Amino acid sequence: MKPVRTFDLRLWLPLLVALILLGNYAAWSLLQYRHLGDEVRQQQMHVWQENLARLQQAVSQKLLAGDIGGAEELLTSYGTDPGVVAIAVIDEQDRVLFANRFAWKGRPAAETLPGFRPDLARQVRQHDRRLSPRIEQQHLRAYYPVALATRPGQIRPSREGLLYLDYDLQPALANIARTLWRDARLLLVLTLASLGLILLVLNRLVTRPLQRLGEHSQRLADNDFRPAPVHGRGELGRLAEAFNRMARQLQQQIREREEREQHLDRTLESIGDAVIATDARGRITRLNPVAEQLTGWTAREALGQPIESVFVIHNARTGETIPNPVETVLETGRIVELANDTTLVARDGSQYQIADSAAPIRSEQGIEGVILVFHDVSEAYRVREERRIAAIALETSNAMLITDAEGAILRCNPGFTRLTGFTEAELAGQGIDDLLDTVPAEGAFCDAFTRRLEDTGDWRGATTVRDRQGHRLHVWLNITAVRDDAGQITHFVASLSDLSALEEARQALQASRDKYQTLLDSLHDGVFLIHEGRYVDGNTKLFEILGHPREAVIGHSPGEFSPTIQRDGTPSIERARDLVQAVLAGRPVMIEWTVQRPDDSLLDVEISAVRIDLEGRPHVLGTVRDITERKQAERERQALTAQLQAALEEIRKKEELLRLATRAAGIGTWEWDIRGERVIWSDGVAEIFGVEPGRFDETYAAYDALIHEDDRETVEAAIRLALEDDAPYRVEHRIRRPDGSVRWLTCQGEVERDSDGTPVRMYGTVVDVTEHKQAQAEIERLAYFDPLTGLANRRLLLDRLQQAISHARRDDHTGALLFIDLDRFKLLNDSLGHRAGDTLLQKIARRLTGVVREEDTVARLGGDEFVIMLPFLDADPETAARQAHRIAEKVRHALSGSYTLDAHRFHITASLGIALFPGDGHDAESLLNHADVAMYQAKSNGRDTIAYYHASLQAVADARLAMEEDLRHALQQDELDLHYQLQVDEQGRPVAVEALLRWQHPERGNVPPNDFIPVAEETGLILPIGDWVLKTACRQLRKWQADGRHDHIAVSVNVSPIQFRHPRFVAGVEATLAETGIEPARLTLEITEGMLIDDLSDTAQKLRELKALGLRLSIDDFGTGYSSLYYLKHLPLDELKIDRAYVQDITEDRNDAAIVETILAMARHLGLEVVAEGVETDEQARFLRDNGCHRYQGYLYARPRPAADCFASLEDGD
Amino acid sequence: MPPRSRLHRLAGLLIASLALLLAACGEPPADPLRVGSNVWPGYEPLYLARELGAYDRAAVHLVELPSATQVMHQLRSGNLEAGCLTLDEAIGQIARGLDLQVVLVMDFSSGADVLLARPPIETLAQLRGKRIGVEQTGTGAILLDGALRAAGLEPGEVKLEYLPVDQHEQAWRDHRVDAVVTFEPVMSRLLADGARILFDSSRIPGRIVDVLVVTRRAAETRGPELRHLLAGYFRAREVMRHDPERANRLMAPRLRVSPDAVPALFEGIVLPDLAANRRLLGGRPAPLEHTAQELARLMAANRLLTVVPDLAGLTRDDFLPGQP
Repeated sequence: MKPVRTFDLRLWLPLLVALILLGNYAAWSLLQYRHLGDEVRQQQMHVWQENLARLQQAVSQKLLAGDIGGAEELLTSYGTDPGVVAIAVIDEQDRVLFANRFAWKGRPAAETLPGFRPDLARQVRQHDRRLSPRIEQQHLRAYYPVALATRPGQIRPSREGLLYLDYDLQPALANIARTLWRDARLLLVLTLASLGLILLVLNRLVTRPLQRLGEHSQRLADNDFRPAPVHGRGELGRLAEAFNRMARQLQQQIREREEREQHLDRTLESIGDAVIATDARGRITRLNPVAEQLTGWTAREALGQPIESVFVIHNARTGETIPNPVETVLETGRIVELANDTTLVARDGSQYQIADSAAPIRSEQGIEGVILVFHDVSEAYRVREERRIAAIALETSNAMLITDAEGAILRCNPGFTRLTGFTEAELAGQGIDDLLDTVPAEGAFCDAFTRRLEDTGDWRGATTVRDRQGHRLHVWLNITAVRDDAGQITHFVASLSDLSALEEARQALQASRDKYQTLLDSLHDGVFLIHEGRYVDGNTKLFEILGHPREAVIGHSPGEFSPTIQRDGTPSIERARDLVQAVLAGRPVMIEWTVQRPDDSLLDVEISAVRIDLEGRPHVLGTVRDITERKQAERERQALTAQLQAALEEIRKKEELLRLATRAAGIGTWEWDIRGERVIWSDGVAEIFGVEPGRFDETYAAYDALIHEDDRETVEAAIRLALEDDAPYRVEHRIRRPDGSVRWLTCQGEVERDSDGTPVRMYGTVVDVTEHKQAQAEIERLAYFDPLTGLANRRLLLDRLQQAISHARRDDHTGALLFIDLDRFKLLNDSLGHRAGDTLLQKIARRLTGVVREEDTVARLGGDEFVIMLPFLDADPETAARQAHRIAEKVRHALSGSYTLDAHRFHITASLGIALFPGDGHDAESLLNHADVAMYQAKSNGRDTIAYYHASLQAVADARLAMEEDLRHALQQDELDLHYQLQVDEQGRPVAVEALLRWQHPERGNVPPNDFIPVAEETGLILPIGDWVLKTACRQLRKWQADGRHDHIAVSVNVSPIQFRHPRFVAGVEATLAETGIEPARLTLEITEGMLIDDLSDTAQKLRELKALGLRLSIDDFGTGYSSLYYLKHLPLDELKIDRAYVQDITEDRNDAAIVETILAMARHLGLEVVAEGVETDEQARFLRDNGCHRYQGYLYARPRPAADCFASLEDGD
Repeated sequence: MPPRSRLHRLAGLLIASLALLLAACGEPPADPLRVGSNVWPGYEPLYLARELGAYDRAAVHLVELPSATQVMHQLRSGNLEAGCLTLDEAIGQIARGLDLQVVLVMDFSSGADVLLARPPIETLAQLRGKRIGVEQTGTGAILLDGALRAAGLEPGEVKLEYLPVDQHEQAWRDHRVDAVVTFEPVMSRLLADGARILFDSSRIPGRIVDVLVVTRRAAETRGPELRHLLAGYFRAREVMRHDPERANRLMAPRLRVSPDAVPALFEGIVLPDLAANRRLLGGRPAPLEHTAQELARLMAANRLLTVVPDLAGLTRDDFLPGQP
């Protein structure tokens, strides 16, 4: 019957159903998709036909009316449809007028509009007929003519444009697919649900019964014969019944078989022989108790084992393995009897002599197994064996005796008879000691001999016996006891060897040894013998050379008597080993060696060695010769040679260097055989020409082709001049190398003439001077231009200015010099870093050059100083001044925009000074100086302004310089001092003081801060001064805190913007706090309002850091700058100080009063304290108090006083 | 595997797929999110993102429109779900009943909007009694308000001429105004004519704002597309920061300038980064909402609005990248 393959119903049935359902739906969906797709295409086509027709008309109308913007609006509104890839109006030159993408405007339609075809556009234009939407690769594309313009009186438009549409149908089609997929999912859900149902039914009807049957058959295999738990009338129920019947029969059969087996087992156990049965593969199936005992395996362990692991046998005589009888039986099918001498090795290693036989177990199918029967024959074997050995022993050539336990001789062999002359019959019954001849036999020896024999049963040693003739024989006697099983001595066996010949030989050897030693010791060279890497012998000379006595040398290796490293650099031990091995390998060796003697002196020796075999073992025999003197001479010679070699090498290197240098310098030589029209180029020339040496044609034409086209005439002229007028040939020209690069060359040469004066040959050199030329140009550029900005530098400016001045004087017109300095650039440079500063300067340079005319010069003098020279202004100085001012204004505006650097944004302002020429200076230097002075004036007028140079300014500038100089010394000369002005509360109690800086100049007297602070800020002196102020105020505060009377007083210190902006400012404050140890909450830093807006992010950061130190922060002069609620809210401020200007007019000016009210209300709202400054009258104080201001500062309460008596006024007033 | 557990697993799988498929049945077919804008450097990162291939065509459709008016028009007529507008324009639309939400702050004016005056006017204070031309827009109102505050002047102390921006230059040349609140490109032309900048928007940071708005309906239903849109936007911003040359090259054609000139266009504005956006749009009420309310009050005071709309819940920060 053909077997039927089965499949997993639970998998295949649902799968089939699912596949059918899904396949049907897929086919339906495909049809639906195509159908709906066609519908969408049709629909879109209609929609766009209408849209475009409308658009065509509307756009034309708007364009003809000149309303391009309107037309564009109309068109672009169609862009909201995601399907629109391009919708555009194109002019008569196929350029995009406008489209749904602004980037396309004005660009050729063919390059920008997707799918646009100029040929179709041309066709539409020619026939003035539209090309309705058509489908190209899932896109709708259409071309509609539109009128761009019409000439009056004409019907046909004078400019004909196109309306182009590219509409992607893909999104619409994708939508259909999505809808279909959405429906499909519902179907999928249904399909999955039915699959689930089918699975459940299948499981109940088929799978579970089958599973039970499967489990049941598994149990049958484990001998569980209970009936299967499946019933019912179904096919599977009937199958289960048949199954149960089969199980019952099976159970019966198994029971019968087990009984038979038990019977057989009992039989085997009662057999006296060992029995092992195997199956046809030689695996053990049975093992009876006797076999268990002999093999050492239990039946349980042995069952299933291969026979050869349990039944291990070998030949007792030879130890060879005997082929396992079981295998032989299996192979031959015949009964096998084992040979004699079979030893069985049991599992524990004990051995038995066995006799055995193996026979096949046959059935109808052939050999089913083997039965192996064997028994222990060890005892019989042992007896037989002993007899055999005794017989053999007595047959040996050695003299042998056997005695009984008392030493009475039982037997002797022919060897004994040969040695002594006694026969067995003569000796029978004699004691063995009777034979022993020696004197010792009569005394101690004999006692020791017998005692030893009695103790151990053995004796061996040299002794003498008398032979039959009475001669004394030297023998080696060996007596061994033979014991019985109980350990009792039953016999002695004695063997005797004749030692007489040996003794003679020994004496001869000693004589020969003495002779050999004498010979060796008489040699001039050392001789040694090495075995297994160690000295075994040597002569006196050897020990002399090594400097060690014999006993210190023998048994040690040669390496030990040498320095660690030999002269050739190899380690001695290693080298000695290698050499010994080489000699042993049969290679005679002759080497030089260095020996280290006990006094550490080194000795050079020459060693030659060969292999000799002594007593069958390889030895190294060698001689050692002292060659110290010879070596010394040799070394000196070698040193000399090395010096010579080094010198030669040096020369060779220098030659090479020279050769390379010539090549690197780019010098080549050439020779032109004029008559032969052949030019020979050196490799250097080829390198310069950028061609491969040898592959360059040896003609003038080849060279000519390389010459730069603009230089060809020059070169030809030079050659002509050299040939015709005998002038030296020298020309500088360019070549264009094959790789396209252009190089500058200098060619020089001479002409050689024959006796008639006809030129025969020209020869000369070619040098590549390109780098030189470039360097020259670079030097020129560096000399006149600022490398950072590319603007003119000071030198070029002065040159041009000098020219412009003379020019202006000659032609009677006026010029101007604008000196520009960036306000606070240094500060910015310090805080942002120089790289950012450089970038800013470059930006500024660009803005400056953008403002001026071609003929004007913009220069950078260095740092942040720029100069603009305007050479051509009006002749009238006043008009010229106005012109210059206008340009200066432009410059100021151009610079004052915002700048972005490294994500920082800030504003830059500039101060400008103007000097006119020739009026304000006769030479360039002084003019520049005057413009600089004017710039300073502009700065002190308040930054971001413009000032003219005026003679009186010079005086101001000078005074300013003097002030700067004085100020520098003021700190050192201790001319600065702090005064303190009190701040009081409503009750007039002092709550704080403001530290105010005073400068007492030795000549000028008291210099007001308004005069010197700006100078200090400009020169950077404000930093040390500010530092001093802060430290001094803090120290004073500590004093007050310490004296106890004023420990609640706070101190306010003013901070200059320059100081505040310094990157190390916060750290400096922190250090001062740490140094003076004051309570930070008692220190108030006053900053001005202007600083808040200058650079808010930096300010905010710093204020937060300061706040974190625990300080109080106050806004000074509040109300004078641009105040923003935003800043006040977001910055960590504690206090506002109302500017004195408001307070002054508070009682008269309603505006000021209103402002102060507002400030106070706002401060209350924000939780800020307010201090009113400049309070001078009671009315002012009252007004402030009524409006909620609680702290005051002003002359009404106290003037600024030195620290010592600043509280005095109050105390006076009390 | 024991047959029983395999069956369980199969059944579990079936139930899970059923649930998934049933859930999926409810979702509508997705059209791309339509986002409209006019040309303005601050909006350009969106288009840069498109050039960089950051947008899936099926998810985001950028619509280029010639004017903000068009953007508002198309938002109202439902042809756009999102658009780029100035904050005051957005407030105007909300006041007219369009329910918009701000999901991104695109840029601040910081120097781009200016008050220019004719010499000899040199300080803000000198504007007292002078004629000032200004667009009747929120931006114009904010800048003028800032300038007048800085000058310490009341609106009543100057004469205001409401002029659309395309008439600023002519009005200046005809001496119809002494000062004008304007921006590029008029600003450059008037500067060349000798005008002075007295005040600019860098002094009122964060007040003149361009934002990305979406209709509330879109904000509620188009979350994934909006996240996709903003993710692309910030990716473009990264490219602008790290590879400005490439970004300039890609942005130049739409801005219709050479790549070298692109940075100059960004000079007067600040583009807030992701962190700034989180700060401005997050929290209740969000800082931007506060700004918007102030702005709405200012607009009402300038008769730009008839009613002050309720702007509570104006902003949403949950579409910004990196939000849960």
